[in-house]
Amino acid sequence: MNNKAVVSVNNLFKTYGGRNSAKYEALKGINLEVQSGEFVGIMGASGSGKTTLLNLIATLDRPTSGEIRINQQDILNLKKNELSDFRAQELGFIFQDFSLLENLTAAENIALPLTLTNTKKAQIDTTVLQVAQKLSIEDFLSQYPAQLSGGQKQRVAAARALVHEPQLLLADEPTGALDSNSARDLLELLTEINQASNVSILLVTHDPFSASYCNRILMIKDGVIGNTLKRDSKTRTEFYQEILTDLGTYR
Amino acid sequence: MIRKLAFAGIQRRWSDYLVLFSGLSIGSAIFYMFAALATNDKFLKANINISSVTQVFAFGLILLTIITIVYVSYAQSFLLGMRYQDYGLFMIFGAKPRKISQMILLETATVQLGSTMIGLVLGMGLTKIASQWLANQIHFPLTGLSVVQLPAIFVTIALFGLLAISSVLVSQWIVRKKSLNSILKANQISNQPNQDNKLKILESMGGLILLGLGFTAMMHIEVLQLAAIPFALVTISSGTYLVIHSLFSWVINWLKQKAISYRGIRLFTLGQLRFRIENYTRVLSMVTILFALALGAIVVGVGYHRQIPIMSSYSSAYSMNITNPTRATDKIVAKMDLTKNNEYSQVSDQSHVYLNQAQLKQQPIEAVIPANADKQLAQPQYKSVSIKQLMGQTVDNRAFLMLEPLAQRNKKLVVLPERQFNQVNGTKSTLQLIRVRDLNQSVPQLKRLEAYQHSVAAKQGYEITNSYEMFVISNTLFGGLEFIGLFLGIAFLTMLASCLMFKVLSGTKMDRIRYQMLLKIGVSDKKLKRAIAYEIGVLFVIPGVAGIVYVALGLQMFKKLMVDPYDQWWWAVLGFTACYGVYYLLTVKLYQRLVIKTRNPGGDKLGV
Repeated sequence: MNNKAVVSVNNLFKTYGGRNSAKYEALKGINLEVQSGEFVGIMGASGSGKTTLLNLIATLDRPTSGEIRINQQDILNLKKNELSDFRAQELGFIFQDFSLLENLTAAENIALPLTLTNTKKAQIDTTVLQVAQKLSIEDFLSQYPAQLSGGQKQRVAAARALVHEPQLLLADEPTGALDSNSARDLLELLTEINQASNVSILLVTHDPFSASYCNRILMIKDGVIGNTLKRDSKTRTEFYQEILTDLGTYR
Repeated sequence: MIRKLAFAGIQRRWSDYLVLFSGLSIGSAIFYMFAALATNDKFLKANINISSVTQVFAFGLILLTIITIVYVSYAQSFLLGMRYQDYGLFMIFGAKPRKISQMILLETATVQLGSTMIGLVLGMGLTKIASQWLANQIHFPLTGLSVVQLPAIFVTIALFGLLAISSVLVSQWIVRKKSLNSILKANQISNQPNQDNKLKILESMGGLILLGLGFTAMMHIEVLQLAAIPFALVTISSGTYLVIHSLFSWVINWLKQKAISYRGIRLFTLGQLRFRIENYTRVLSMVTILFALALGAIVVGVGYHRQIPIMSSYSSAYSMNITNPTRATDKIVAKMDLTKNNEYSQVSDQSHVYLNQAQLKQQPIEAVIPANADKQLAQPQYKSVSIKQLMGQTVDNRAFLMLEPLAQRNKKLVVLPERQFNQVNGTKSTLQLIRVRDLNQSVPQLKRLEAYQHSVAAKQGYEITNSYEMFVISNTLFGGLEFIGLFLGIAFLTMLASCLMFKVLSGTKMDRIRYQMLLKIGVSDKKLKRAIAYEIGVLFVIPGVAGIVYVALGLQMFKKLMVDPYDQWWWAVLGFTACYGVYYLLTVKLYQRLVIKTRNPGGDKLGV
């Protein structure tokens, strides 16, 4: 096993249903690795198992069998409370629906992961401001989510996902609810963060445009990983074309 | 098709509808219970010795009506909250507003009328059980209470019918007038709390002035008479609203600035509390008033319950007198908790009753030491009566003779030395005098002993022979008040608790999304559960504390009706708070189950 792997998944199976209901195999023996500082995309049609895979890596669900290691730690051996702490410290989340708490201001939303680790208030204030400046959202820190646009909300969500400097950022269709300009902004932001802070990003999407920002794309279909596309030295547009071509042949 | 869609909605959200249905049933049951008393003029006049009792109850009924209106409007908004998105979806598919209106009518009618009917039956059952149980507890024979009270049934159906109609009209208006988009997003509308501090100060000042006016009116009830009650209700209710509204958000704002809030998910809990402040202010002020009314009623009820036996004990040093005890009376006496049990031999002729001096020296006759004004609620103290006093023309002489059978009472009392006493001719008899520790507890036995007694003085005239007789008479005078106090206390407690519980639980739909979000980003179950306990704790503590303060002030009003309304009132407060605490725990458990419990935090295959 590569020592620099942030995520390493071995022979992962997930079956839904049981004795009284029809069985459905969502994942059938997935193997993958994400290296430190890598920006990896998981692409697939709806029902292909990509969200199931993300949920398992995010420790939100448990697999039927297989192994998941994040930073060399076997997360399946962690107890419920340890899992919560693990999520709070090691992982950052960006969801399609932003998942902001609308009863907290933008600043308070961003501060949340830090309050979970009982960081001092002064420290929290400084860190929140720093990350907000980095993401150009410092002007609306005191506003509530309901007062923000979709793009602004997703930036706040990104700030919340990054404020505690996680090793791994998990993004589930982060551009799904954004207009094309905001989507482009966010993806460029993610790329920048990935390069500047060396955070590994795992992006789940069915959108080829979003996927074209990644270094590597794993195509998932019916619970199995098929093709892997690598960007290498290609431009983003070239890579985008490659993804489109691949999608045409893969389907 | 419309009917199918409407009922499919009910089936799909069965557990939510169950909360709604049971909440409404309890609401109408309590309303009926109160109405059954308030509309029963005969019962009120027969049992309560206050001339204005009917008016007091009329005010109570008006108050309860207002509370019920608020309560039902919560229920309706809960129902609509569940259904808005469905309605919006049907409209996208081309359902006309007229069809949606029909669906609303059908659903509301089914839920509200159904629950009213169940509530009526429940209310009748509760009236019967509660009144019988209470009447037994306080040894008070209820006269004229009818479980099936026609005017009360009519008032309950009328009120809940009207509420159902207005709920339907309001909902239909909303669906017709609002844009499709806002119907679809009805659940996502959030009210941003007002941040203006000057306004908050002004608001709390206004609230405090209103509260001051209300309590002043209550304390000077002898000047304002009956007008004090509606005046106090209006001023105290609105004052409470303003103070809670301003103070609550001010405190939360203040806390949010503090470093102490930046630990765990305290910030979230504060945000959660502040976020729905408008809604909670209304329910909190209502619950505060209800809490005060319920606790006040119970304190007064318990006050009378405690006061009646003590007051009665001052009327005689003995609880019961038995002439010529038999095996049957001995058997009863043996089972009683007594502080005094003496037997005196006596001989009587035409005009004298002779007592044995030696026996009197050994076990002197006792008399109550009259109480000072400030000690009227303590158990009475006793003194021994000297032989001289007993034989003279004294109060003690009279009191002793009252313990004799009727035929002996006008004879002269003579105390003889033992030798002479043994030689005197006449009818021999034994007088047994007992004193019980607690009149309330010993009532059943005393009642049986009374039947063995030769003299039943109370029935002969106005003279009281023993403290038990005084107790019986006092109970008919004040027992009505005691009954009403306890009855209303229990009714209000049930109503307020279900109100608060209902309000908290009706917010679970949106809260669930928030708590699930927190679970995802790494907050443990344990922390979330604790946060919920805190959050709901605050919602319960505010009206609780305010309610206790209100009762402390409101008891001033009873200084005219009771000797010392504050005596040991803390016991009632403790008992009440314990019941209230049980509701709190129940709400927390239910809420935790509704908001946190999942198969896995990420949802299932179809979730996320």
